[in-house]
Amino acid sequence: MTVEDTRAPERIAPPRPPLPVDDTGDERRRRAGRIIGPTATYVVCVLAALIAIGPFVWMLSSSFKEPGDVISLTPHLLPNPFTLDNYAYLVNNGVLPFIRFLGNSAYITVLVIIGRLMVCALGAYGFARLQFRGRDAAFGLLLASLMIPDMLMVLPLYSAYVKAGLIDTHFPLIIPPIVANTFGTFLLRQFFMTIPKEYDEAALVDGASHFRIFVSIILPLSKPALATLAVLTFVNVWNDFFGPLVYLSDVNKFTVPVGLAFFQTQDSTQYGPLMAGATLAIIPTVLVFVFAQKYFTRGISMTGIK
Amino acid sequence: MTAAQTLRVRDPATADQRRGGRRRNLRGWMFIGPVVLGTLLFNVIPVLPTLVTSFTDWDGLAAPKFTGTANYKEMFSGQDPLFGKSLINTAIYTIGYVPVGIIIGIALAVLVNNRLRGMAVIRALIFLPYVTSLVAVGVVSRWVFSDQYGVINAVLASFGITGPHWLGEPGSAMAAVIVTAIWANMGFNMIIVLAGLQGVPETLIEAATLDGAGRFSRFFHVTLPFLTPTIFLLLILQTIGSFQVFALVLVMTGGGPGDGTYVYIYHLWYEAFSLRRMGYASALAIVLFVVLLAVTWIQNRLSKRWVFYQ
Amino acid sequence: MTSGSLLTRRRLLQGGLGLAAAGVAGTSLTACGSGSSGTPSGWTEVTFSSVGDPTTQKMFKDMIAAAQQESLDEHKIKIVWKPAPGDDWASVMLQFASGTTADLQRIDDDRVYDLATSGKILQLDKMMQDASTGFDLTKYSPTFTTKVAVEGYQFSITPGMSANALYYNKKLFADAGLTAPTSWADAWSWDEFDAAVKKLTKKNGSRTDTYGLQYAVNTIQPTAYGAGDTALYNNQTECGYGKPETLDAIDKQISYIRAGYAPTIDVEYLPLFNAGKLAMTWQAMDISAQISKNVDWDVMPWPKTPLFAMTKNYARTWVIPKTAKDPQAAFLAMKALCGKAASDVMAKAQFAVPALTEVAKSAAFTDHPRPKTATVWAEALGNVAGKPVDVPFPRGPIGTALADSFVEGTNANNLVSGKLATADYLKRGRDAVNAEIKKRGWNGDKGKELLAKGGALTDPDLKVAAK
Repeated sequence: MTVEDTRAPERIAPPRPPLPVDDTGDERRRRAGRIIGPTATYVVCVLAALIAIGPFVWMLSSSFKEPGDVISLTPHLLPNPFTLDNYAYLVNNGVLPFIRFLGNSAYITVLVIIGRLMVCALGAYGFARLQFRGRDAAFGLLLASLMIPDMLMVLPLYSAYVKAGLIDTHFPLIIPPIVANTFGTFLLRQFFMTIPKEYDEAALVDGASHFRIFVSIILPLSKPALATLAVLTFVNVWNDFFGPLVYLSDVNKFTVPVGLAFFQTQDSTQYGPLMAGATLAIIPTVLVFVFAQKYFTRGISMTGIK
Repeated sequence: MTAAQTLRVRDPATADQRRGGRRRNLRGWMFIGPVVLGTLLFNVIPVLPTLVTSFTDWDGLAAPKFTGTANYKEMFSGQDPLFGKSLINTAIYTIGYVPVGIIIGIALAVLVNNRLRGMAVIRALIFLPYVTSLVAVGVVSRWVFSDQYGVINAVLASFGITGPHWLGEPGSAMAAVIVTAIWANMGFNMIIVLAGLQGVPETLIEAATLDGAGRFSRFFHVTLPFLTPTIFLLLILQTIGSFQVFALVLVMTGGGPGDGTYVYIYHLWYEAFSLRRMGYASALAIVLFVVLLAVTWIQNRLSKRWVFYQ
Repeated sequence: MTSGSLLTRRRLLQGGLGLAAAGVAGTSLTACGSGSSGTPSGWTEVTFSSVGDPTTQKMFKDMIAAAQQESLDEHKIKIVWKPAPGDDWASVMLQFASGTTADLQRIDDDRVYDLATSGKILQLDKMMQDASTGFDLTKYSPTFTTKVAVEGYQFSITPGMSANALYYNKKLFADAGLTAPTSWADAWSWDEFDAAVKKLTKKNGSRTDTYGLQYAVNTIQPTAYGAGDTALYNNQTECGYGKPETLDAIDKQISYIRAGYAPTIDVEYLPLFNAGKLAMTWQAMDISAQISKNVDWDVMPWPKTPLFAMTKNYARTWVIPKTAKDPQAAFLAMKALCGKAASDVMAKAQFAVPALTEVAKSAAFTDHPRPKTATVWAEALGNVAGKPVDVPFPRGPIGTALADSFVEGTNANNLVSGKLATADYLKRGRDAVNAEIKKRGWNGDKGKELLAKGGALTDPDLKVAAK
């Protein structure tokens, strides 16, 4: 459904506030929205997965190929000859400390995820649940801040960081992504707004503060959205290229994407090591996804509300 | 609750509105303070110089030279045909990508939102394109859409159809970019909708089932209304993102053939960093800002008709 | 064994921070720190920065080591190497705008003009001509200075240039009974070239199975030059490329795309060349590593034209920002990196043709397994029959307009997509350049005015003396 949908609102069934119920996760229960049977689901899913993995497979396969074998007219799947040289070159090329880049990326990403979840969730609660002067204007400001391309903002930011002595530090890569993230705030706000208000109202009647409601009702109910934000933040920060490229100049402070950018210049691309690096870089992302995905599929656990 | 509110939500505890006004304002700002301040500091204040430089001739190195509205005049007087062309291309891309991307995201999320065996792997695989190296995406997509050696034309040929020279014709090149964008972002849309789906109360679905509603009816009348806040989020963010599409175009077509996939940010980037016309690029950014503000405002107004909040 | 298992256990305990820990461990294992800690007291430090892939960066490191040993150690100057990724002009420009560049910076040669007129880089003429510490220019190819000069002034020098040549597939040539020329003096005439392109192309109905030729749009300006035309006329107040000969020459070249002898711009050369389905491709030196081992290749010159000159080489050049801590030391470091020892390293890497003539002609550069005729590259810096092989091309604001109108922008893309008639392409390009000339009130004196206005030519007289 998109904006073009002009059906009269009353024709869409107005969602009634659901009653808090005990949900013990009955496996047989129909999951929200399922509209086709298991067999058809499998067929479509496998098809989608096959379409999805093409470039990944090429990346993986290229990382085991010799330089002249990577670019061919019709990509061949199996490396022949098979080589680990690209990986060896990646971690030991005499100029780039790639393992160090992994470490830098890891610590920056972990800090940003923790910080961003806190700041965005707080903000989202304010936007979704409280009414106060300036709220809508502030939200508009958050959205508007997405509408100017980053590449122009970087100039004033860069000179400000130079004056503050923060160039060639990790500050510009950690603090702004934590405290200035519209996406996360918006995502959590939208999710919070689907949580029935009856919960808060009951708690307010009992004399709970808003902070208490936020911590003990909203956050536990929002694990799917929080996990989603954590995964997307991981992807976003782990793969951030422009920030580290611009703000860092000491090779020992570089992150993985900047390290990989070395293999690609205007004139030529060293596909082998580049794809080896990209393959290594994708592993943590997949692990985070796999770890977080039990939350996407958990459903609202409504036990323990009352 | 017929017309649901979107950017405006009712607070349940507003009985003591007048008396507790100041306290309520303070409390609200304590919650949103950090993100609003951070955004002001790092995302809004750095934009302000752009507004100023948009009225100058500036190469990013020497001092800017004030030129009044010359940059804007250049845009709107037709002296820069690529301004209009890139804006149109961007609009085509946005219209082609955003709705289909969201629908596919919803379809995939609904599809994988179950505990069937192996689903965890499938979900991870569908998410892969979103995290795969863009360089790899570029190489493979150029091969997939290759005229003579590509996968798509090979499939078409097996049905006796001669496929187009995808990346060689402006229209089909844009189609190829859109398809690749949908493909690359399907995992992103999927996991956001997936999170949204977890908010759909199972009780309602069961109630609908007991009422004899079929699968499709249940989906459209129970699940979908609950997803509207998520869809609204995707619509707003993907539209803003689509107007700023750049990297994918760069790796797939380089804006070509001719000006066939020459999108707005490509133009801005080219003006700013290739021609070193930072002043003009700033003006382009301001116009983009105004366009996006208008589009988002309209989307927000319209959303009151179809987005449901609790 | 015990310590090993302890380490493992500790790592496990560190849980999510394991990767970060690995990063720290990696630091101590990696022996390639830059950093200034290694500079002895009393020495002058010069930072050097360039973009480049790890192979190139490794070469710079080796060049620095060679230069250090050859002459810098005795001057007590130490080069500190700061590798930069990608080729992102944005970062370098930010650094110039904010004064955070390295003391010696390697950049694209088309950026020099802007940096000079903005007063961001040092004029080098005085230092270069200094009797005791300057260059002996007779030892370098003429392009060493002229290629990167701005209005006749020297703001940068380049120790080497990545030459372009026609890479060709030897097997396809043998099959067609063709023998490639091995030097610019013996280059094919256009008719010989034309016959070869057609002979090498294999068509299958309306489709091309094997392309005879592939070239990029930046060959257009040498083609125009070869036809006897130049980019600007009348004291730079009028755009060239208006002669009928120019239209003919370019149209002939573009007709290969329209008739399927050459691929359109969206088709990539490398997969085709690697698959043996492309006979000749016009490329720079640094693509050779990506060519498949199954392809037997060499390089040859572009065909002769009336004016001979036929290659527009791409150069990255070296500048000293005005913010350099010690400009004299930076200059001496630059000179050392253009010296024999460093040039030898560059030659052995076949990274670029060294500007130092003796090295470009030495076995260090020419004696490699591939290409057999590396002299074709080396000759690109010199003259043949009194005419330069490398094409001069205007820089500065009008140079940018020319590049935008004829080489980089959508106009050029339309031409090589086969979507635009050559006459229309030339007309649009000329109109755009003439509009820019008019807008700026440009003429041949404006460049010097810009330099003077930007404070580029008022540098204090640096006392260059051996340290």
